[in-house]
Amino acid sequence: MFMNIVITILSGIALLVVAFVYTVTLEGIARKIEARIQRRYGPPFWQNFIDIFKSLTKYSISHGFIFDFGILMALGGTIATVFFIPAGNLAVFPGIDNVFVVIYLLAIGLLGMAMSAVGSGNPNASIGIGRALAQMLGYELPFMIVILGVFFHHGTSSLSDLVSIQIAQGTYNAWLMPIGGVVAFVSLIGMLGKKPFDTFIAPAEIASGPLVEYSGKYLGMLMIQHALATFIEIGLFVNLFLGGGRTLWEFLLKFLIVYFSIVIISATIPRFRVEQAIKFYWKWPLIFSFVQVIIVVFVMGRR
Amino acid sequence: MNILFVLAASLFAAPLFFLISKWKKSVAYIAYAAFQVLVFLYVFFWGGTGASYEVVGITSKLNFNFSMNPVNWFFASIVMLIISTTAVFLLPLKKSPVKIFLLSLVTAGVLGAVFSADFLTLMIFWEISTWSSLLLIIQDKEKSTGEAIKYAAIAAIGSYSMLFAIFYMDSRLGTVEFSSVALKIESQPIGVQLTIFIALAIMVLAKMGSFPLHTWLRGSHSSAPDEFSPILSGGLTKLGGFLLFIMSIVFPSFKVFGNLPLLNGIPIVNYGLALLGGISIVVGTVMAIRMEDAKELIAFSTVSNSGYIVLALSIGGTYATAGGMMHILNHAMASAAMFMAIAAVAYMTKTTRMHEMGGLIVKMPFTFAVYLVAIISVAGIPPTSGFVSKWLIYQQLVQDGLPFLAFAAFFGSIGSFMYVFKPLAGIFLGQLKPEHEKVREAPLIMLAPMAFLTLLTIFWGVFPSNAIRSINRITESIGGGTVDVTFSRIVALTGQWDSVLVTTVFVIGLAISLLIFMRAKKARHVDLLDNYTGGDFLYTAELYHFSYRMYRPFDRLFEKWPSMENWLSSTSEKIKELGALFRAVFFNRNPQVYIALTVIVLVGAFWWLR
Amino acid sequence: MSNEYKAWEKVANMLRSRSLWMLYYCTGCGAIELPPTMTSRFDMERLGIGPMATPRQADILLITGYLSTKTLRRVVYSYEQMQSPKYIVGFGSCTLNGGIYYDSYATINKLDLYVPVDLYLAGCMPRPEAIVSGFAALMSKIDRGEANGWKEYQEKNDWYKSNQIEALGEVYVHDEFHE
Repeated sequence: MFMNIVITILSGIALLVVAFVYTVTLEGIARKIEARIQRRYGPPFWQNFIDIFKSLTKYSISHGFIFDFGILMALGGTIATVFFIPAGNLAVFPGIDNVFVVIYLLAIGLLGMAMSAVGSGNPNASIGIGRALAQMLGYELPFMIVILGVFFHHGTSSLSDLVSIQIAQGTYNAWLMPIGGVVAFVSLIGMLGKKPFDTFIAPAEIASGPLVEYSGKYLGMLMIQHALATFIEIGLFVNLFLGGGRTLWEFLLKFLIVYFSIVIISATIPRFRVEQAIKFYWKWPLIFSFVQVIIVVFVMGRR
Repeated sequence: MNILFVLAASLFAAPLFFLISKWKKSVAYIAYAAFQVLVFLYVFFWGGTGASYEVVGITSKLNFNFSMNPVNWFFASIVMLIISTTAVFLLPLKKSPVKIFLLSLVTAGVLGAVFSADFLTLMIFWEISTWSSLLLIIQDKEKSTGEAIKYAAIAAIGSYSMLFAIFYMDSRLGTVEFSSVALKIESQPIGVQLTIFIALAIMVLAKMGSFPLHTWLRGSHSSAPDEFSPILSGGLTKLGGFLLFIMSIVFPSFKVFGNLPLLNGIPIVNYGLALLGGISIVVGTVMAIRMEDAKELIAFSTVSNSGYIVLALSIGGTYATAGGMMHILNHAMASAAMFMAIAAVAYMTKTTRMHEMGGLIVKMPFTFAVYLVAIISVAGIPPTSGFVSKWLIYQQLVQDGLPFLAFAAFFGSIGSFMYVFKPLAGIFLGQLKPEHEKVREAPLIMLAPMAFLTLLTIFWGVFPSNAIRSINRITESIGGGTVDVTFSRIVALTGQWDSVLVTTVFVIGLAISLLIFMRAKKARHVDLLDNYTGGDFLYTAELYHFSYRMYRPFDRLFEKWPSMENWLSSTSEKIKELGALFRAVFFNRNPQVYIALTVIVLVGAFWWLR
Repeated sequence: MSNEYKAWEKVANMLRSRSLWMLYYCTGCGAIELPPTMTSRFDMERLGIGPMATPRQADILLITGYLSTKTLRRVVYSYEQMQSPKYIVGFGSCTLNGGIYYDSYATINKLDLYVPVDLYLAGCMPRPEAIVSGFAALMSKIDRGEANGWKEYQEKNDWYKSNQIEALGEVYVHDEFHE
């Protein structure tokens, strides 16, 4: 009993460290890939670490209690969610990591950042948050309907159980439900906030939207939160559709492949307006997600 | 516990409070508050034990049947919780003898309704509370008679439908008691079953404020006195949930309609009702996002959550039933807390339009905290209780494989982030208007009931086993399945989660981020007007508060959609035109028209009788 | 304390010099040399320098060219909105000695009197190669711990403020609507 708690704590710390280090490194490499696509050299691949730690050493301003508390809630919620993502054989809470819990805990992070951004009193931040919330309605719906099909077919909504089922069966959900896999991939680009769905950051239009009044440690903490949220969302996709991994290295390899595909796609596309993004998500991705779920429920049935 | 004693006391308390308030208003209100709290405590602590059944004979054939079993206790506790907290909350607000009389009548009616054991008793007491609430809505504002008429019309549709159902039941089955009807209805032909079900369903939809009978909620809430809105939204609409539970779960409606075509294992009639609930969720969410008045916004949120309850109790199954019942509890608490917070703000700033306020978090931090927890519960985010009910409903949807209803459920949940955030950003965050510099925090007598509801929401979010065990008792007494729940873990067929674990992990995450926050350099506090606006200097706070039409790009997507209110107004215009046509033909001022009509009729009569 | 402090400050300076964020504050004609520097030919991002939209997030304020008194007020306000440690790069000869507008009544001649400047880039205007080498010089200056303009602004604040008031009359423009 006591050993269980110790193992849980140690694996949680290990998962958090791996998530942070790996994702920030990958973000740096992604900057280099984008640079090469644009025919230039880029920053060194450890650049994002330097950015985060430099931000944490700067002085900062605060606009009140909710400004501070929102950031704490954002980073705290995201760190809490990281513990529920299994990474290969490094699963902190096997069996009780329910996907709905993951999705809604991630919403705490968004709510915290939204409160803190609007609490800064800058109208640019409110515009950015309005856009971010509207866009969330766009990309979440096709994703949730596809994963409803996944849960119905396998009869479980626990992440680690789904991973072990896919490994035992030998076929990943992406081959079993290919349309759903593609729809989930497109939703994932929206979740990450990468082009063409990064209208809520929009540096040139609304002065980086919610981030407009953040300086110093707030910006550093938000960058950490962004990296961990990236890990959670891509980790969710890899576990649900690509079978997680038998070992940690297999998981990290699949993570890398998915992340670089998204980076290459977003490096070449301009951004949508927010109503274009919502209309896009509610047209073909939603229709295909319904098609996929109807196929799963009526044709494939339960496993 | 003695049901009849409590009921009689409530009924006689109404004129008593009226007379006391003619003498001294505050004494009457304090007496009313104390009485409600006592009734709530009595019901909650003494009602859970044992079951009782009392009959009051009025005439030889007419009986009022009251019962006290787990179902009645559950609904009575919820309703009395909301009423007692609101009764304490409204002590500082404007008082009048008529209002206290009507409030006491509403309470008495609601109590009678939740303790009823047959349809006639339910109907009579429900009508008492409906008529009292109708008169209560027109108390504060002069221009609210139009809204009250809308409420009366739609309530009348429901009431006539239920009256028809009662008489039909009595003529076909010979009884209107819940348990007897449940036994006898299985042997009836399918036409009888369908008629009774649909007639009762219309009453449920009308009283809960679900599509297509949802248009009354918006006007009623915006023109009702601030203190009545929590009771209307948290108490009265839940009576519809009571009726729905009776007609969908207590009656074996799934067995009864089992011979009809099934859709994913659900009879088509129940699925139709669930579909109406789903549409109600979507309509409520989309309309709520467009509102600029905080009370209208929460009214549409009530439409959306009523849709959740209708959906959950219609698809049946262990988890949906438990989820629907828990959602009744959660939504009652959260909606009442939201309305109370808005009422506290309106008491201080005299307005509920969100774009006229801003930055009130520095002046009213506790009200902000109450509102924040309430919206986290409505959005369904752990560790509040709203997540528990939503999770249970999702598990049932996953288990049955219902994509369209799941689409509506997810739409409502994610869309609710948008509309609950709007009052938060508009009222509490942003720039503080100079005219609100003098606003202070709400008085303690208003804060205490709000804080109580908040604590309950968090308590049942971290320890949902408490509430789920009560619900398990209810479903067991009906003969349904129970949800497997241990100290903090809820186990469903398709997944499980542990609420204490989630809360602990969240607190650990907060601790880690607090550690990083503290280790870095301390932040300097600056004024809200020291903001980045391209290097320019800010002086007028009200120009920099962005909350009017916050979701304008999203609203533009739905501008061309058909609106129920427009369709109803155009229908009423057409009826008026038809009436004008009749008037022009038959009631014309011109006497020659009468002579012409008489001649035509006489000619026709002679020709027919020849 | 001092050894540990010095080591920590050295590490912090190394971090700051390798990740400079520049404010998009491009007024004046020198701004035209910035897009070529930022884009693919003379890639600025490989030095770790990236653009940031607001003064709250930025480290470097790049004063590109002449400054009229109207713009100087906003520059001072934006500089005070930035968070320490912050650096100013005076870009072009107009910030050094007035450049070709040295005899104008509306522009200032020496930027260092009003805000502390860490690095000047002479030229009218400096080409991207000059800009990149200037940034490299700024980075080594930060590494050595000599780019302390922000500390000087705090210590000699009265001197800077009196210069600003002498040139501008008032720094924070008074509110015409409410007076």
